[in-house]
Formats: sequence, C-alpha cells, structure tokens
Amino acid sequence: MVFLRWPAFIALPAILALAACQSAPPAGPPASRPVTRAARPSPPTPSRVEGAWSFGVAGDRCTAQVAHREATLGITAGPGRTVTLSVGAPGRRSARSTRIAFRGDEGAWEAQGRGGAGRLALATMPLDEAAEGRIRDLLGGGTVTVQAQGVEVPALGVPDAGVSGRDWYGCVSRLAER
Amino acid sequence: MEPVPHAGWTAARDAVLQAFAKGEHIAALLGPAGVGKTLLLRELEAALRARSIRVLRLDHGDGAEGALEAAPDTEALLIDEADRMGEAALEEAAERRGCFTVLVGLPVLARRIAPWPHRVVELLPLPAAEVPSYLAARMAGTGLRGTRLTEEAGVELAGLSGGTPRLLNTLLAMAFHEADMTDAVEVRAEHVRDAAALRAEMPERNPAPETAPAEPAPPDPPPCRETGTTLRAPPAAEASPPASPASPRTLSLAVAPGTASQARSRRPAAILAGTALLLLGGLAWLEWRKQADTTSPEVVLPRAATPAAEAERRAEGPAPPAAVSSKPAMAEAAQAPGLPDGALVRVVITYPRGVAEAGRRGAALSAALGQAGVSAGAPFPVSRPPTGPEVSYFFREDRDAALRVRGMGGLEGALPVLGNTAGTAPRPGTIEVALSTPGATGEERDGPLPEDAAPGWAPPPAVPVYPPAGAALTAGAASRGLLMTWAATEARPGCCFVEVMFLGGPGTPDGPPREAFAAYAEAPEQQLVQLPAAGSYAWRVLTVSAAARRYTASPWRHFVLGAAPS
Repeated sequence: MVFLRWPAFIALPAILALAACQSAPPAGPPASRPVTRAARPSPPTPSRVEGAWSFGVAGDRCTAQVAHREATLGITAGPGRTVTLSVGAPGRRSARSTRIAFRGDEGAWEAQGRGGAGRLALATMPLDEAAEGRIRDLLGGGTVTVQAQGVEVPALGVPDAGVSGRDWYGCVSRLAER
Repeated sequence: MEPVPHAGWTAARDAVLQAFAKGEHIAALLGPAGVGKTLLLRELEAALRARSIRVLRLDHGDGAEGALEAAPDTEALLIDEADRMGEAALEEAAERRGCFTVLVGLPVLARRIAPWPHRVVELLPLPAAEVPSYLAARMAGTGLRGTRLTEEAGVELAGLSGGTPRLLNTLLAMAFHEADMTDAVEVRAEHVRDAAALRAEMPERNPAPETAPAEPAPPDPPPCRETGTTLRAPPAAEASPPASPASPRTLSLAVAPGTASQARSRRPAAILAGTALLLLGGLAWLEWRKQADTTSPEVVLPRAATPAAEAERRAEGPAPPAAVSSKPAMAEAAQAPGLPDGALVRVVITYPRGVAEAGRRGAALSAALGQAGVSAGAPFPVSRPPTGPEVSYFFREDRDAALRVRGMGGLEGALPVLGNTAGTAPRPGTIEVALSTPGATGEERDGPLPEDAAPGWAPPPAVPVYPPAGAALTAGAASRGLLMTWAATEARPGCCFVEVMFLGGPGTPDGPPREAFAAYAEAPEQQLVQLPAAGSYAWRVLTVSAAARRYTASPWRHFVLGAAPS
C-alpha cells in the first residue's frame, strides 16, 4: 500500500503548482480598504487669523485679496474711479451697518460699510488720494477688523504685500490718473 | 478664471472627497482630455487644505518618484498626469499607508492601477442638455454678454465641442471674436463654425494621449524646484528631436494614436509648424472673408508689411479711424521700434519708513528712471529696510535689466540678486530697488536665492491667436472689450502674462510705445482687455514658470483698433 501512496505524494505538489499558475477567477470591483487616520477635532474659531495676498487685473478693475479660510478681505479698484473694500467670513450673517477698521505701521483708519449679499461688510469709496492712501496702508501690512453688532469675526492679519503688491499698486495708480 | 461647476464636475468632486472621508486609500480620477481634471484636482487640493490636511500636489506624474520621501508627513497626495508615472513611483504611491492618494489621468490609467484597491471617479464631457447652462455661466464669468449668443450658436457649440469644456471655452471665445470682427451684435451659428474652422488650423496645444499609457516610464525629467508643497516637473519634450510638421487636424482634443513619449517629443516642432500653419491659414481665411463679404469693410486683413514699411508708417503717424480699414497695417514685427524683447521693466522703489532723506532720494530715483523711459512707481516706505541698498530681480531673464537699473540709479555698490518672494510671484520684468538708511543697521530680510549654475527649464512660448497679426478691429470691438486668446502648451492658472502696448493713434503725440495693459491672465488662455483709445497696438504673451523663475515671450503681434463710438 505504501507504493500506491508514492504517486499521490509526488503528484500533489505538481497539482498545487499547476493550480497556482492558473489565473484567479474574476472578482468584483476591488473592495476599498479603510485607512486608519486619526480623527481631527474641529478647531475653535480663532480670534486672529493670518491671511495671504493675491493680486489680479480684470478688465478695467484692479483686484487684490487677503485670504484665510475664516475671513477674507477683498480690494477692488475700478471700474472708473471707485474703490470697494469687502470682508467675507463664511457662516457669518451680515449686519445692516458695519465698520471696517485697519491698524498698521502706515496708519489707522475706519471705513463705514454695509452688509451685502455674500459679504459681511462692504465699503465703497471714491478713488481719490485718501483711498489710494488706504490701499497703500493695507499693502504695508497690519490688522483688519470688522465691527458689526452681534457678529463675531476673527481679526485678519494682513502681511506686507511685498514687491508683488507694490507692483500691483501701479494698476491702481493708472486708474486714478485716468 | 474659476471653473464652471457643472453637475458631473460636482459629482466627481464629491465622490473623491467622500472617498477621503471614508478613509479609502486611492481614488482614480479618470476622463478624456479637456474635461477639466486638472482644475478639479486644484479644487480638491483647496478643499483638503481648508480642512487643514497636509497636501502634496504633483503636476506631472513623471516627477513623482521620491517626492513622498521628501514630504513624509503628507496626508493627501494628488498626482496629475498619473499615467506618466513610472512603475516604481506608481507602486510607491499606491502602497503608501496612511495617505490618501488621488491619481488623475486618462481612462487608460485604470488598467495600471488595477492591482490596488481603488475607487474610480469619472469626469466626462458635458451632456448636450447641460451645455446651455454651462455656456451661460462661462459667459458670465468671462465678461461676455450672454444675450449675444443665439440658441442656434449654442447648439452648434455643443455639437462641435462634443461637450468637452476646454473646447467649448475656446470655441466660445473665438466665436465672439468672429462676431466682433464683423461687427455683428449676435453671435450666430456661422460664427461658431468659422471659429471651429480656424481652430482646426491651430496646433494642438496640450496634447494628451488617449491610447497607450507611458510604459515603460518616461526618461527622467530635468531637475525641478520645489515650491511649497507643489512640485512642478517640466515636460519631457525639451530635448526632443525635431519632428515632421503637424498637419491640420479635425476638431478634437486628442492626438493621433501613438505613445505618450512620441506625442510629447513632437510637441515643440509641432507647435512651430502649427504656428506657421495657423498664420498662413488664418491669413488666407481672413483674405477670403474680405473678398467674400464686401459689405463688412471694417474687418480687413492688411497686407504684410516689411520693417521698412512699418517704419514709414510710423513716420507718417497713425491713420485716422476712417482710414484704419483700408490702410495697410503693420506687419507681424517683433522688431518694431521701441518694442522690447524682454518683459516690460517696471521698477518698484522702497525706502526706510520715517527717513525723509531716503524718501526724497527714492522720489528722485523714480523721476530719473521715468525720464530714461523706465516705468517706476512712487516709492513705498517699508518697515524692514535692508542694511545697504539692494537691487533685486525675480526672473532670470531680467538680470540684465536689473544691471541697467542699477547703473541708472547710481547704485553701483549693489549687486543685483535673484530676489526671494514668499507669496505671489511678481510680474516678469519687475526690478526692486530697496534703499537703505545711510549708516543705519537694518533688520534681517529674506536672503536672495542662490544663482544656479544650471538655470531651470524655460517654459515654451505661447502662440497668440486673437486678434490675429495685422487685424483691423472695429469700434464695436473696442467698446465691448477685446478678448485676447492664445494657445499655451501648459495652460494652467498663472501660466501666462499678457502685455499690450499702445503704439500711437489719432490725436496722440508721437512717442515711444507705452504700456496699455500688463497683467497675469485671468484664464490660462484668454484675457479680456479694454482699450479705450483707437490706434495701433502690439501684444504678446509671456509664459511664466514661477518655480524655475523663468519666462518666455511670444513674438509681438500687431493690430489696429477703430475709433470708439461717439
């Protein structure tokens, strides 16, 4: 009986090897394996956030933005001789009357604003020497706050705009010269 | 230009973010060329960063190998053109634990990532029913008046583009210009067909293979520079041998079948040959239009002029508006007097805050530069002046200009350095002169970048499309604004800087060309420009690589703008 077991003993590895060479049966879509990732608690709203500048020229407008996900300051010079400052903060309702305040190395000022669609505060002013001065103040860096009744918005840190911002200011100057 | 978030786009975005939220490891964002995969990837990057996720985005798959090692704390890895990844890099990305990976590529990528568990997210062309709403949003975003586009034109756009957003965008812009060039108020189906005919003559700007994946891995790219957490690898086509000229192709974003590396190796030669074809085809087409439509005298193709003729024209002074249409306009001439080869130089002067003497010196320097024909704004006071006067440039092409500015400003002691900018890149041609307080010690500033022995890769030039060389545009085009378009090999946000120079016009004194518009383009391949004055203009596009600190200028193109309506 022992000699009868020998062929099976020899054949078994061969059969297993052949089976291994066959292609696997078609499977359904590969299942996604979950990846362990630490849960992140949602951070509390900070009292001050630091924004980052970006600049653009769109048609007859010069646009700049200091952006952070908690608050954004927009500057639009033009069309014509107008300047608009806007502050947006996601999830905050706008108030009827607001005030945009700036404190920086260059100076400090406040602009009366109003609530707008999708914007917490909107202040429009003529593009004159005073407005040009405010834009230059902002480009020099400082802090922007919005004062509105019943609305809490983090103070927005405005960094020095650097050479890109000072070059962009040329666009504002050209508008003012027209 | 913000992408238009149509239904398929939003669904794809949500699907990828859902994969991330569920802790899945790989999402494959697949779709044909031109559907907006790259823009969607950037939006995904922004969405993840907004959740304070550490993101590493690679613009080219062939630069992926080893990138993760350089940023080991990456939580989300986003790889564009993942079908160009080598096997080792693909394996490294796919098998990395604890990191969410988004692989973006053509549908053929699916086969290569089959061994790993993944979610497939498809981004497809727009269904015809969604094209009208897409066009409406697009026109609103680009400043085009939506009421001008007829319903038939919308249907034609949908049919000719196959719903591919990139093609839709291009044809839409070109159709508006077709209408503008004939002073038509409505943009009709015939304008779309004319645009498509001209588009078919254009070289393929951003060919993407639809067939074979990049196997084996493409050759190593030239060294690339890291910018934040974004690595930009240059295309592998720089050193490719010349190839046969590209033939005019049908309206498609796809290239002829072939391997990816073959397609890319043909790109530079194809662009050059295609440019020639475009110009010849465009000239012939416009000439035919002129002869066929004698009722539209406003749009004419001026005869090509020699540089001598151009000089003569300039000596005569600009033509009055009534004669704009009939007078031969200038040729396509980079050598026109006063037009620079490099970027337009603009000097930014700073001085120490509160130091009146330095302020006066800055004002005097600005005036002196202005008298020498160099644009310089009013000096800015800064809180952190350098310890000694500094002259900085920000693109390698601008070093000579910085040396000239140094000489004009009497700043021989200041060796121009490649300046460091932490945020937005300045425009090409920017030179910063930072004055110091004599004898004072300033605060420490960001140091200059080291000058590389082997400067980085220079981007390929763009091909200006609209307005075509020598075009005479009507007053209507002036009042509506001019939508300038071009073709860029790497059409991405921030890729392109547009310069428009006013050469002269009726009632304006003779003088050197002056800047009419200069800015980074709002969209990768188009920019709306409003030019109030009638007269002669030249324009061009500079393709910019902020990572390599290089730019490449296209040739100047000339056009004449009719009088503004009274």
